[in-house]
Amino acid sequence: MDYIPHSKEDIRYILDVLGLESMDELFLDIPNSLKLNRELDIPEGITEIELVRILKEIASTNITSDRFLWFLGGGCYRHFVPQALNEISHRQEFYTSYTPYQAELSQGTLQALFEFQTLLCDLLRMDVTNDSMYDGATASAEAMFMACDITKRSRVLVARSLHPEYRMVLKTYAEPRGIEIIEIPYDKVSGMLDIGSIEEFIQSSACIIFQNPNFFGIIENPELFEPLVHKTGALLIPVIVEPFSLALIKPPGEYGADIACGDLQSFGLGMRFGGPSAGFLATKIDYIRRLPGRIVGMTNDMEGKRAYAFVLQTREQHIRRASATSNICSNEALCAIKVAIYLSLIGEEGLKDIALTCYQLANTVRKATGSYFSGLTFNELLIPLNTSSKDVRDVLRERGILVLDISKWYPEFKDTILATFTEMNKEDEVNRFIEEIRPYVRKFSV
Amino acid sequence: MVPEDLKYTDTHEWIKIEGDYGIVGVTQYGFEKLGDIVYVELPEVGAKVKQGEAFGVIESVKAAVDLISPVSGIVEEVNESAKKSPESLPNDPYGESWLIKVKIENPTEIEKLLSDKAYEELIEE
Repeated sequence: MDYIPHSKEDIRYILDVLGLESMDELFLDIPNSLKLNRELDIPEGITEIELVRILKEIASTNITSDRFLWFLGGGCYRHFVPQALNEISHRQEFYTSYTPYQAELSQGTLQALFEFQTLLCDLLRMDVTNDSMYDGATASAEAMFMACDITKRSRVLVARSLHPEYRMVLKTYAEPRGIEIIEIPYDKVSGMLDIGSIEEFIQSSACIIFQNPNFFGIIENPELFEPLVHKTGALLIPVIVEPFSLALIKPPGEYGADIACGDLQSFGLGMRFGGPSAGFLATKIDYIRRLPGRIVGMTNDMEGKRAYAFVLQTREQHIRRASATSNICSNEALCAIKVAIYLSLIGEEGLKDIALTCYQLANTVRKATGSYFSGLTFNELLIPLNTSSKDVRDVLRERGILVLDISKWYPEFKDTILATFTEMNKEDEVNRFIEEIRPYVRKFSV
Repeated sequence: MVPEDLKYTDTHEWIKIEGDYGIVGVTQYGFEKLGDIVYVELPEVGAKVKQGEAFGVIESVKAAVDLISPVSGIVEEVNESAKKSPESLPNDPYGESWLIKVKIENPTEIEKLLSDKAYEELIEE
């Protein structure tokens, strides 16, 4: 993006119009502790060639996934992004239109979003999805609102094994609405949801929100608690953070999920320092009017030709005015389109192949290192250590290997690390990983 | 001209008082403003409604708006045929197209509603 400088006069003029003394007043809402509170460490009045040199030097200290053996996951996954995806998604018809305001003029965009919805419904085996959400965390929060609205209840159960940052977003959304969140623990042995706790609290709760596979990479068995949840009139809400899992494990629609939500970063969006991503929100046909955002439908135009239109957007501000209950109509159209292109490029077989590779790599390592939990592993593995997580993480980093220390979110895991495996990890990398971690593993099998 | 025997809200609902009960619908003017109706969502029998608060949603091709209850009370009956064929609602706004029947909790609330004349003035503005 181009940098458009303002002269001192420009700045003074804008501040006068706004009735402000200084630029700092524009940022009063930001807590001081988050501000830099000093000038950037770049000399003034240098030439462009000098500036580029300095910036490149600073940028070279970034850790990039190409220069390390990368076993980081925990909600942001390193999958391959084919060049064809960029070629197609960078077409100006997709790339330059922020969101289709004159929707019906943008038939190509609408068709791509329609395909997105169709692909997602196929993967999830759910009746309907909207045309995307901002990310998995906000999609979970919207799912929580839907559940409270549908059940007219204001207490929700949230798994401790749900991504900690997702839980923070849920908390942020819940508080102003007076929604009470009860944390459901994981079983200490299997790492799966503690069913006894669900049983204890599900009565008069709106829903249970859980991640599958969960934050520890353990595959849940929702069929074990689905009857228990539905018996009380509560809703079953799985959150899928690594959507490649859908190729191998039972999809939400087949175990009675009422709402399914999650993140699509894995599907061609890349890591990009953590965003932008896209989220999804799918539900049963009965709840279609409770979906926030927009739904694209296929219809016929006046001449009887196939055409696409926004067919339902029942909660949005431009439809419901003052009584709107949602305002996400700009959504993540471009990222959603990229997801549709990505899934079309890899196809059903590609999806399965990649998912299987992830699964096999993680489970090969599991055989060697053991797993903290007895539950089944998809592509992330919590490895028990004989020493502190931080120490092992730091030692491995010095040797060019990156793993995730989750003890900052889970103090109970101060001697474990989370390692994630994708199709980007070559077999010799994985072997090297096993060799390097071997001395620190608590119970080394094989 | 709007029917004289009804009371009105400024959000274009009407109520017909029959003893302890009130029958609620949307005015002809309300339907005209909405355009073609495609969907109506109504409460269950036994649900509580409150004066000035939403008891349902009505959707047209161009808008979705809350239905506001003229009185507080308990829903005694719901017009099932209104849910089944919402498109024909505007044909008979003060008759067949009633939406819910409410057991009125507090009759003094009725005094806050608009008379036919006051409502007529409102929509002429």
